[in-house]
Amino acid sequence: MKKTLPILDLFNCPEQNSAVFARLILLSILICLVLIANPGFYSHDELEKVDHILRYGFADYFKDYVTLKPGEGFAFAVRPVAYFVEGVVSLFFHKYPYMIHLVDVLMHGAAACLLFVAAFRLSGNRKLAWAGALIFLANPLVSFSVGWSGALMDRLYILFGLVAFIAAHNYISRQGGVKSLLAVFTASILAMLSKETALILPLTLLAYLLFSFESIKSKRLWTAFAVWVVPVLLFMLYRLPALVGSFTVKSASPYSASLANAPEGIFVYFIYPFLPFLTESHNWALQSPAFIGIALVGHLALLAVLWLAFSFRAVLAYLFGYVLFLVPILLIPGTGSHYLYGSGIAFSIAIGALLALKQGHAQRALLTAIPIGLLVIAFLHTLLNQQYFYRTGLCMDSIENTVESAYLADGKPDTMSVVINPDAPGHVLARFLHNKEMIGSYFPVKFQVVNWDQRQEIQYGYIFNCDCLVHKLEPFKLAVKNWGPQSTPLNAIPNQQPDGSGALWIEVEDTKDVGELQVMIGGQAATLTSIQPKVITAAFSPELFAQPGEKELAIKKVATGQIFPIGRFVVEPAK
Amino acid sequence: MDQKLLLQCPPRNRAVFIQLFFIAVASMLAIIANPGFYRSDELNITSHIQRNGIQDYLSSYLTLEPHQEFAFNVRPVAYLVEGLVSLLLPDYPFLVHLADVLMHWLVAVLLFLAIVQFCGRRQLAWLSSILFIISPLAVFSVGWTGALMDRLYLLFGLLAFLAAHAYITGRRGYAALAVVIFSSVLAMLSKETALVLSAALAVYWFFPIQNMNRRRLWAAFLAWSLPVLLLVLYRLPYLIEGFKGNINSAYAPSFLNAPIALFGYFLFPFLPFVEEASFSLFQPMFYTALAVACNLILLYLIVRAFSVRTLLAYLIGYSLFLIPVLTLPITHMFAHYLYGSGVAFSIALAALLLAAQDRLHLLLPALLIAIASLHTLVIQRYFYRHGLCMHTMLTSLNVAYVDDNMPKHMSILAMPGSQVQSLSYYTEGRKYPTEFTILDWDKRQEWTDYVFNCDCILHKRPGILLEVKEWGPVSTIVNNVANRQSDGNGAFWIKVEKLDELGRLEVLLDGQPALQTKVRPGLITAKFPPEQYAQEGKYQLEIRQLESGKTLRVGTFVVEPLSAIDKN
Repeated sequence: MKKTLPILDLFNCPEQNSAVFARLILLSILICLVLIANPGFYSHDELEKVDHILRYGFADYFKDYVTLKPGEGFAFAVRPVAYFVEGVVSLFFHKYPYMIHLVDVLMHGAAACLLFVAAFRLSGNRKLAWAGALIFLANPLVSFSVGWSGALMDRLYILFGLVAFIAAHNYISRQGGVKSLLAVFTASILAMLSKETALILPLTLLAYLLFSFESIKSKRLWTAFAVWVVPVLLFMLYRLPALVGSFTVKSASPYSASLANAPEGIFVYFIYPFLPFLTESHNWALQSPAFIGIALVGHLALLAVLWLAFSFRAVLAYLFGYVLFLVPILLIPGTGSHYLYGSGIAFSIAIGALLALKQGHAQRALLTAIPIGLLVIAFLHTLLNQQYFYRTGLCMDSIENTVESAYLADGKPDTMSVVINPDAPGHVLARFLHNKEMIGSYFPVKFQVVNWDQRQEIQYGYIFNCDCLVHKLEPFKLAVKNWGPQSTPLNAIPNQQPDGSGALWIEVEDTKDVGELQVMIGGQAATLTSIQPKVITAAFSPELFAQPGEKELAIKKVATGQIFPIGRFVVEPAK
Repeated sequence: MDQKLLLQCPPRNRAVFIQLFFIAVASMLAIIANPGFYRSDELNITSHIQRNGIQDYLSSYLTLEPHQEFAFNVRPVAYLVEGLVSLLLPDYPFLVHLADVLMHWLVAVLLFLAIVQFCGRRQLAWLSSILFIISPLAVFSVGWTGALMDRLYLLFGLLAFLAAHAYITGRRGYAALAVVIFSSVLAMLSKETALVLSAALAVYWFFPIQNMNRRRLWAAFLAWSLPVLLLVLYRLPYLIEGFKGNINSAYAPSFLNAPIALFGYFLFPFLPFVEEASFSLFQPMFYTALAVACNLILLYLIVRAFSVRTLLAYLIGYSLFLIPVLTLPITHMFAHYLYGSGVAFSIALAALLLAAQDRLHLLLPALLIAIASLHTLVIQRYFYRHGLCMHTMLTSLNVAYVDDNMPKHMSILAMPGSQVQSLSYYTEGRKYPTEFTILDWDKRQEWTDYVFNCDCILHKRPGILLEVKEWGPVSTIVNNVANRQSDGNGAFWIKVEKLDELGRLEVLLDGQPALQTKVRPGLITAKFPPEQYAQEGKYQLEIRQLESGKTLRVGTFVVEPLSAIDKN
């Protein structure tokens, strides 16, 4: 018997289905442990629901969210099933946040179990189905939807879609009758009421045609397709005016659709799995061109391997499966990593199929080595995504606690304007305060986020720092009497010190209780700031005086990041 | 009966280890996900490292000093592990808890191996290990990072036992004895409670095995006891002083405490709603009777299924690890001391399950396991809520401390209903970042600078402690006296809560005191002259406590321009 490392036992497919499911659920918990342990949340989406329930009660939440409305915009209140689940789960929000994340992970585990069943029934290859389900648990295309509680609709519609697919397969392969059709119909309704993207789900039945064109003659295939499509059509008819509006009216909605958005979307989603340092897909342009190139080549290599190992038709099937779930959102501006949840199926099954290649297959070593290499990159991406979620959650949790603390300490003000320190994760604060009118159990409160470069125009009373803490901003003032030197010729070190650095002095009224300070020139901190009772001195490295120009001299209060401008220091150009 | 059990032991050891790992992680999710910590012990270590660096920490904690307090500076191995793990504490608290759970899993694996080696019964070993993982006696030590020494010394104890068994049965020679000595040293340097460990070899007297060599047994016992003797001799002067009562310490021991503490520790596993062990002795009669009955049933089942000798072995196995702490004051009965007792408890319950001849006899041990498992869940929930609260409190405390220019002392008023235990567990004996005083709600007349509320938020005290529920009128048109009274003045009403013992109050509008402020239970009314409504603008409405001069902001009253009428 071939010996394997003990840990690899975990990844052998058990013989019984019940053992497969148990192992997949346990593995989902293990793989997503970081996500479960996240003490905070990712976006305002989930916070809005919790605030609504806290402020207006559960009945009002149900009335507002768990109803079917045609809606005004592309993504408005047409997900009653998803909102129902989200509302119920929200009950754990304040006391047991890990339970919410655990539900997210268990839902993902359930989707992996269904994927195993679907892949096994379709292919008859247990090893392939097992490998596909395992990769699905851990691939980077799914980590965003699982880590982000508010993106549960992406998981839910895929979950119902898989149920519908299994039921449809039962019917098509004559293992089931009318009951199976009924299951297709019900699952299709639930999927559509989870997320409207589910409208593409019936097209998954085209997989039959891709692998066996003879299936086109199957009456049962077309019956299942028709049954699956009915709820989609009904839903689309109901929402038609809003959808037409999305395409025709030039609205300011961030979700207004346009065909011009599609090419960029396809490119970004295609390179995403192999760009390990990319978290939110809309930041793709910030990645280095070399990494983007590697990611593109990596995905193209996967296509090439699929062609070599199977056929060109397999490549087409893969591309079809990868892009299908993205079609509805390719038209909206920007991209979102959580939209890739459905694409994770084709990705996982394709690599799973390559890993399950039979012994003796020509070029088997090469055809499995390449996907294994790609998987390593993809799993690294998953780990980094998970770390990003954990750190974001920890940060958002700090924001929530400190905003409430500042609000209470300040006697519950009507408005809180928070300026973002340049080195603070402003995107997390912005997401937390988006549309927020409540903090803790207190409302209404108006929040305003002030960017660092807006601080001259907009008044603010609080500051958000790099430790994710929101501080009350006591005005930071220093009575500066004089300072110098105020200029120096190019390459002349003012007040040169024994170590070669230049030094500036700032005479002030008093430095009592000022705390730790840092003198800065042009945003560059002094190598040493010394505070004496009436004077502050600062040493700067000689390189600072090697470039001509005017630079702002300022003092930074280290604890709060507040900056007090002193004046303009001039390095005079050479004559 | 073995074959009918759902939980079958996998045939291969590596599968056992992997499955035990899954069980440990899945059953301890609430512990792993805990974003905070339990007491200041672990936070002090992190603070020490952050302030003075890891080298200073190692030189301060990794020493062996005899003349210090009971739990201080005599656990270098445990402090080494704790120091290393603490590096993860600020950014990745879950990794610290995961390390705790992994250590627990490792102990369960060693327990499995020890039972298999000793009696060859894999199914007994398997069930015992599972029950140990989920035991209420173990969960406290796992949930509390600072109690890792209890896990560590048992871990080294089990290693010593495995090596001793290999020597006693003649399978290994002097190398095994060396492992016994080495493990014993590590156990003693993890926690001094390890001095009882060598008595575990009494198991050979209770359950003699065929290929046992008595001479080797004594040799193993001596090897195991040697490091214990050396460390005890090293600390003897202090220990003698302790028993003479000459030491002024919260841990000052007395033999008089032992019987009642032992009773409390035996009740603990079957008191499902008790979190800390010291509360075991102060439960309602019904729960105490239930716990006594459960214990009696367990003891009866052991005698019935096995023998009186087995019962004696169970009682000694349960009490053995408690002996060093039984003499401590009742207030210092802690649940994490029970970690070692979890071994005997788990083996006994597993053996009873396997010995059951029919469903009826399976029912009673299953019921006992159900009660104990409920207790585990309750303790896990306690740790999670406590950790979440401490995490929230710590974040808000950091902000309050920095915003207040790092005061040398922080006096904190705990609001009624707040989790004051979380606050006091953090501040107890803590001097970093500052010194703390906590005032209960009963002492709210004394002024404090900070408030700790029911959401575990610690914030600067804004003014007087009064909850404004509603107030009005909130606006008027310029020159229109709002809520005009018969004397021509305008009036405000403010509905409030907690209006007791606040002394004399007055309402202010734009800093101007009201002509008259009336205070009734739940309601404050105030009159202002018509001139207050003559200028459009936004004005602050406040309540001031006359004795302290502190104010509470009620809201913003708006005097709108005439044009607002047209808009409306």
